[in-house]
Amino acid sequence: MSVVRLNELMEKQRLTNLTPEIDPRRVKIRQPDINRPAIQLTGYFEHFAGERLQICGLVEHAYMESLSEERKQEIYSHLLSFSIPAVIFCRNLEPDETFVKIARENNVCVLITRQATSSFMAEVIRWLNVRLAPFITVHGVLVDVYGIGLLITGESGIGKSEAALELIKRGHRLVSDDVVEIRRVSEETLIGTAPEITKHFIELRGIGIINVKSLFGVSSVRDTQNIDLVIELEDWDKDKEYDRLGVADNYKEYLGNKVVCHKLPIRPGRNLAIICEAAAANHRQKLMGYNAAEELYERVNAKWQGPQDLDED
Amino acid sequence: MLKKSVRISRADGLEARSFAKLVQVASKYDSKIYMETETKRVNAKSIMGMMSLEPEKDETIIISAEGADEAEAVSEIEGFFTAVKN
Repeated sequence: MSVVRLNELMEKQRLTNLTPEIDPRRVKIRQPDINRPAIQLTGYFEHFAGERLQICGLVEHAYMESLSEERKQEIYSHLLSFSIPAVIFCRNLEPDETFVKIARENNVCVLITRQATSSFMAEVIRWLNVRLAPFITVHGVLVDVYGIGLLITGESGIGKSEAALELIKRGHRLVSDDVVEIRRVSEETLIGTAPEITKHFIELRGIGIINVKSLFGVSSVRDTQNIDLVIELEDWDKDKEYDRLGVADNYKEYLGNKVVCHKLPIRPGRNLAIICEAAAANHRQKLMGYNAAEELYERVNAKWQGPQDLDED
Repeated sequence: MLKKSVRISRADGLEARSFAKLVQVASKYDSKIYMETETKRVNAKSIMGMMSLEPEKDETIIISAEGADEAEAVSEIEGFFTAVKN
């Protein structure tokens, strides 16, 4: 299951922390939904979604101002006793000291943003939905080749990273080496990124870790890319049948979405980078409506049917 | 297929060099070995994978191995995470 740490949200949205003694890296958000706690502040806690982020705007803030000190103690203690990841106040509205004090006692982060409530909510929901989308990590290399997100997979040591390096030298862009984080953002779209910690790095056996961005420049890397095509590298097995025409597409499934997949048998001397490049270009052409295998098929059929038509005349 | 969950209790915590060592330990075995945390699943023979796992001390991770030498692999890796000293 995906998790977003609160510090990531804070950095992204530039939130100010009113409870600096609570470490936001330890706070995990698991729900892309948010809640505006207006009705809870009045004392109604049925069906309260306490595990969500709580966002307070002008209404909540104004209501809190109107409460008496005893009522504040009572309501805040109840509200903050839930395992809320954080309470965020919009429009730079600062909550009263009682609220911050009780939040601190209950280990709930209190944050402030200058943004307006509705647009802030919309942006947080959108961002959390992407970050908390169904998620897996796969062992492979993701490269942007002519704008096509090409995921190269295969056993350890088969030459994925070397193929990626050659592709980068030929002007394509690295997204991630070795570990690709895949998120399913819709039924059609899978998005791949690198884990923050290994971003821009490639491991080459015998050389070690290299930083692609600093070696080859900013134009050689990319942060995210859709996954459009998969190439599975495997040792050549002469008893196995490999696709020779490419009329029918094979698919690989990630998180329930299907992606076109080519199994590529490798043998010493095969130039993987050029094959990957050709596969990506061919995939683009197919997306644009032209299929070379189908045309060849039609030409052959026309040739066979042609003479028969003549005989009938 | 053998699965085992282990709490990381290694005294010196985990730093980049320990991962490099762990990958070498895993690579000795023929079995396919994977590590899982709450959010990630990575190949134990891949150094970049292991680095991106970012396990914290006292977190529980699941070691899974499949192959002829799976039992030895799992027990050696388990020892690694619970070692008192280097």
